[in-house]
Amino acid sequence: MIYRFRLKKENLKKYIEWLIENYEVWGPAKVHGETVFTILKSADEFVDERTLLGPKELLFPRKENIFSPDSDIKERVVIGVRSCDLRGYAMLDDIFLSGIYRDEKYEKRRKNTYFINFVCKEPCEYGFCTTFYGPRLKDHFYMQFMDLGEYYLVEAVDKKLIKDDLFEPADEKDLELAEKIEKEFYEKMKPLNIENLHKKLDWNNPLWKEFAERCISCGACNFACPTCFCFDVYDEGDERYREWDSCILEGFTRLAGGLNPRPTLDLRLRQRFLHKLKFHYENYGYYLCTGCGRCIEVCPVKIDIRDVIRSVGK
Amino acid sequence: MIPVKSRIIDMWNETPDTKSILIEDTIGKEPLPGQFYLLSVKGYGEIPVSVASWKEGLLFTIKKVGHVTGALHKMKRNDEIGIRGPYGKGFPIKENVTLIAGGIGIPPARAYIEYSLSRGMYKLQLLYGARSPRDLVYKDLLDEWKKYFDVQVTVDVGDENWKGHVGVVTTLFKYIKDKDSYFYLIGPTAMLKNAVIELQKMGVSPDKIYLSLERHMKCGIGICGHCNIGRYYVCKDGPVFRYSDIMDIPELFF
Repeated sequence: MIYRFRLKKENLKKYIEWLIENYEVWGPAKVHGETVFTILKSADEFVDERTLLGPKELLFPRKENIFSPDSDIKERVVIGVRSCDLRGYAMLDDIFLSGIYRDEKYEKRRKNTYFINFVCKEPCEYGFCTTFYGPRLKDHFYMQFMDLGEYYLVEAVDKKLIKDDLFEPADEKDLELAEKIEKEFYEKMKPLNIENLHKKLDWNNPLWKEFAERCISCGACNFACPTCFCFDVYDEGDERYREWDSCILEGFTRLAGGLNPRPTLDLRLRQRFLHKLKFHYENYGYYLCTGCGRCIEVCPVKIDIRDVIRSVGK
Repeated sequence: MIPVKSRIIDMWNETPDTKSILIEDTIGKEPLPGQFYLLSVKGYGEIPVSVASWKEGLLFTIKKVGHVTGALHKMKRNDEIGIRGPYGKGFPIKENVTLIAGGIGIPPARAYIEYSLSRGMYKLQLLYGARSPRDLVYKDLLDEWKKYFDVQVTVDVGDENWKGHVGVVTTLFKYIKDKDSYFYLIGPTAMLKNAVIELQKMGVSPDKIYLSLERHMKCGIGICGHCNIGRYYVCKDGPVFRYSDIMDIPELFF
């Protein structure tokens, strides 16, 4: 069941103030000129802008002491996350909350974090979300805001964060308008062909070597990605830390003694792309990518995952 | 990912660079041959080690190669150690098995042999290769096992007292007694690669060959990504794989 409401744009600030009164609220704000996710102290700080990095750290911290006791994570709201990022976090759930392992801290953070995603009005420079889930999610959201001009169409899976005096019911015409805007977005950002991509992608794609000539092995692509989940584990004193890791780095697969199954950059780039577009599909039935384009945006040499997708079926 | 506290019951030298460590099984879940534990040394980290035996505790035989194994070698009786496991998929239990072990690949072979013998399954053969006579581990056991099944041992380089075979482990393949048996291979990547080539030349089908793979591991439970090969995670889907399931993965051997 999805509840649908309207929120007048002039009421967004009032709504965010109400959220701030009741929860810890995170959202995009200008910090030293950059738009980043931060705790909002007032609604005035909020800007409806796409950030360079999504708020993945709120679920999966960059570095975490795994020996420290379960901290009390209070209920918090993250407003202004983009649909591409949020959809990626649903994929993290499949890693940390299923299979043979349930990450208790992740689970607690997940349960206590309410994401309010904003549907992008215009395609971004490197994004290709229409290839996967598009700017307006059909599922895997909690509360979704879509700009319809004078007001937002608000889609919510429960009414916990609906403030009755600010929200009014949406009607059929709102949905029609939303679909029209969505259609126009898809016209501007044509989906890439991903039919059977996981079967067509070849271990021996010539792109790996081409990319390797340019790649500087910085790992920025991994750190900007909403779906990358690989991590390192290491000790510092008596504490043990889990920290984001990067499959592009030379030491990622190196064994004690020095042997390395992936000693060269082309092999590591192959791993990155095949994991996302082949292996993960074989294991989970979906691609480990939401088309957010952040890996392209942050890459100093503009290695483009879209080239990998386009390289098959030619 | 939090280790269970345990302690070292006993430890002794096997070779100049290899020690056996007997650890109290504070987890109490019986492993299967080919499975591994993560051993945790505070301040140094964790490493995956295949379990060699579990009669009076968990026995691990560890060659000193890096940071954590170096720390393990310096530990002593009654020291605290963390354990997690048993993890991964071990060797399938079959009636008729030829075990091929190279170097520090012998502990999982020992686990399989002890498991089989304790269940009255004697259709085994062991081919074991080490660098030199002084690098052979479990020397007493090798003689003991000869009472029950054929054991062939070779060294890359002999010494003045060595009267056995000299050469890499694949040079022992002419002594293989049953080409229709299952073949369980444990050892360094170069050995595994040559062994599967030679076995297939002898007509052994890839679906009767099982390999225990070694990869860099961190979490041990199939999420951290380090041990990924193709769609598999060596820690969760392996470390023992049927060769026919993984033979098309280009980075299988390196």
